[in-house]
Amino acid sequence: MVKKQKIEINHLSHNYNLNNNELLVLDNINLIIKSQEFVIILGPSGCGKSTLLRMIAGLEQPSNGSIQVNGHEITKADPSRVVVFQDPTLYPWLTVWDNVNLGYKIRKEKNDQAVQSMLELIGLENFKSAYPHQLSGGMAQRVALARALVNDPSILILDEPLGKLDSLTRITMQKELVHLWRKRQFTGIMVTHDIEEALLLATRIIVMRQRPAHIIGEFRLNMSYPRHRDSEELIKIRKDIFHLLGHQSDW
Amino acid sequence: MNPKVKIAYWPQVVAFIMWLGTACLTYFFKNADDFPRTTEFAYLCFSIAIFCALTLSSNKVRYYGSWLLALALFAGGWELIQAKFVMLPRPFFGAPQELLDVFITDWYRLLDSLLHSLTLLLGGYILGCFIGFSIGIGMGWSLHFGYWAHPILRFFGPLPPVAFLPLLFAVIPSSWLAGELLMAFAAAFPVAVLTWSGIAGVNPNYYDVARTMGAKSFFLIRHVAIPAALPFVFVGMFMALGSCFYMLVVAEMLGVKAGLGFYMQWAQGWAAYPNMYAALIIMAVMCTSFMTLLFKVRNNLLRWQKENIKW
Ligand SMILES: Nc1ncnc2c1ncn2[C@@H]1O[C@H](COP(=O)(O)OP(=O)(O)OP(=O)(O)O)[C@@H](O)[C@H]1O
Ligand SMILES: [Mg+2]
Repeated sequence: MVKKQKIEINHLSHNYNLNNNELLVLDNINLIIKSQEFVIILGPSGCGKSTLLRMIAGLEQPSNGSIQVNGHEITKADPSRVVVFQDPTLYPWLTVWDNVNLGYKIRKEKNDQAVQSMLELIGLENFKSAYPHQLSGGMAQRVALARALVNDPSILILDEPLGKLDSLTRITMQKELVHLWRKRQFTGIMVTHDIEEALLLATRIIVMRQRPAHIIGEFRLNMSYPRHRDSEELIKIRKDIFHLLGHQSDW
Repeated sequence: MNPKVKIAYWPQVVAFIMWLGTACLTYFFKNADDFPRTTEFAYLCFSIAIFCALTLSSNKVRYYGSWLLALALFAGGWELIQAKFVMLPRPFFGAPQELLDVFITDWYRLLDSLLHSLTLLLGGYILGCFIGFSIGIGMGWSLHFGYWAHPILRFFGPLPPVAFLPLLFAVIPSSWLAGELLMAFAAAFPVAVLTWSGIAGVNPNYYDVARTMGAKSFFLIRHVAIPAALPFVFVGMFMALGSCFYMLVVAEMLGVKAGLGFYMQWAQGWAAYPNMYAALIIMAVMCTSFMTLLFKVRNNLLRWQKENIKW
C-alpha cells in the first residue's frame, strides 16, 4: 500500500514566551516533504528542531505560517502522524505488549495479530509480558518504535530516537530503521545530532542554523542502501555539512 | 526466606520446654491472690507447647522459633511475677489469666466494639479517600477546579481534623455520622494533596505519546494521569490510614458511644484494666490488618514498579 502524503510548510515562524520575553524559535521555515522521503534535520542544540517536529505532529500550533498535509491545515494530533521521542517514554505501568497495543486501545480497536507481528519484527516477542524497567535501553527504544509503527502511520516523526543508545546498538537500530522504512513505506522525518547517522539513512538532509532555526542547507542523497561510510559522495557531503555548521576541515 | 538457609531446631525445642514449664508453673503453684481462669491459662500454655512440638518439622514455623521462645519467657515471667507473687501494683497490672478471662467472658462486647470501630473506620476512610482522590484529580487536571479548590484546601487542609470534633458533635445529631465525617476529613486531605502532586508530576511526554495516537481527555486522565500518579496516591492513602486510626480513637473516646475506643474509656471508668489491655490488643490487630491489606492492594496494583517494600 502506498500512502500519498505531501507535507507543505510555508513561512512557518514560532515564538515561545520565556520569562515574559518573546523567544523566536523558528524563523520563516519553508519546506516541502514528499511521500516516502526520509528527511533528516540537523542543527545545533536548542535551535528549534523538536519544536518543528511537535508542530508537524500537531501537538503545538505555530505562531505564524502554516503546515499542511495534502492541502489540509494541521490543527491537532492524528494517528497518521506518530512521534517517537528521544526517551522511549514507555508507560512503566504497562507491559511491553500493552505498550505496543496502546494505539489500538485508544481507538478501541483490536488487532492482536498486528501487535504480535510487530513484536516479532523488533525481536521482542519473548518479552511481551515484561515491564519497561526490565528492558535495556535499546530494547525499550525498539518497543517505542514498535508502538509507533503498529499504527501504520503514513508519517513517522522521530526526534533523536537513537540518541541515548551505545554505538553498537545504534548501528543495529539504524539498519532496522531503514529496513522498516522501506518495508512500510512511510514518510520519515527525523532529527539527529549525528551527522554519520544522517548520511547513512536520509534521502534528504536539512541543515538548520543556530536559534532561531532557519534552513541554511539542503542535500539530496540518491545512493542506495546499505551505504558505505567512506564512499566519495558521502565524504563530500559530510565536508559540506561540517562547513555549514561552522567547522572547518581542521576537525 | 531462603530455602537453602538451614533454620536451627533448638529455639523451638527450648520454646516447647518453656511453654510446658509455664503451663506447669501456672497449674501446680498456688496463686498469691484469687485469680480467675488459672486452669484455662495452663491449658492454653500447654496447647502452645504441643503446637511447638507438632510443627517442629515445618520450616515456616521454625523460622519463628525464637519468637515462640521469647513469648514463652514473657508469659512465664509474667505469670510468676504477677499471679504467683503480685510484684506489680494492682489493678493497673493484671495477671495473664485475667486477660484471658476478659476474652472468655466479654468476647461478645469486644466483638461488637470491634465491628463498630470497623464500620466507622472503613466508612470514613473509603469516603475520605474517594473525596480526596477526586479533588486531587480535579486540581491536577482543571485550572478552573484548582482555582476554587486550591485556596480551600490550603486553608482547611493543615487544620488537625480533631479541631472540628466539638463543632461536629454539637451540630450533627448523630454522633456516628459526625465521627464518619471526621474520619473522611482526616483521610481526604493527604490523599488530595498527594494525588494532585502525583498528577502534576506526570511526564508531559506521556500525554503527547497518547495524543499523537488520537487520545482524548478521558483517556488521558483514566489511562495516563491516574496510573502515573498512583504511587503518590498510595503514599497519601497510607498517611490517610494513619490519621484515620488516630481520629477513630479520639472520636470514640470523646463522642461516639460505641467501638473499641469507647470500650477502653468505659474500662478505665470501672478500673477494669485487663479489659483495656484486651481492647488494646484487638485494636492493634485491627490496625495492622488494615495496613497489611493496604500494602497487599498497593503491591498488586503497583507490581510494575521496581522497588516494592514488604510489610
Ligand atoms: N515550552 C517552551 N517554552 C519556552 N521555551 C521553549 C519551550 N520549548 C522549547 N523552548 C525553547 O525553544 C528553543 C528550541 O527548543 P527545541 O527543543 O526545539 O530545541 P532542539 O533543536 O530540539 O534542541 P536539542 O537538539 O537540544 O533537542 C530552546 O531555546 C528552548 O529553550
Ligand atoms: Mg530536541
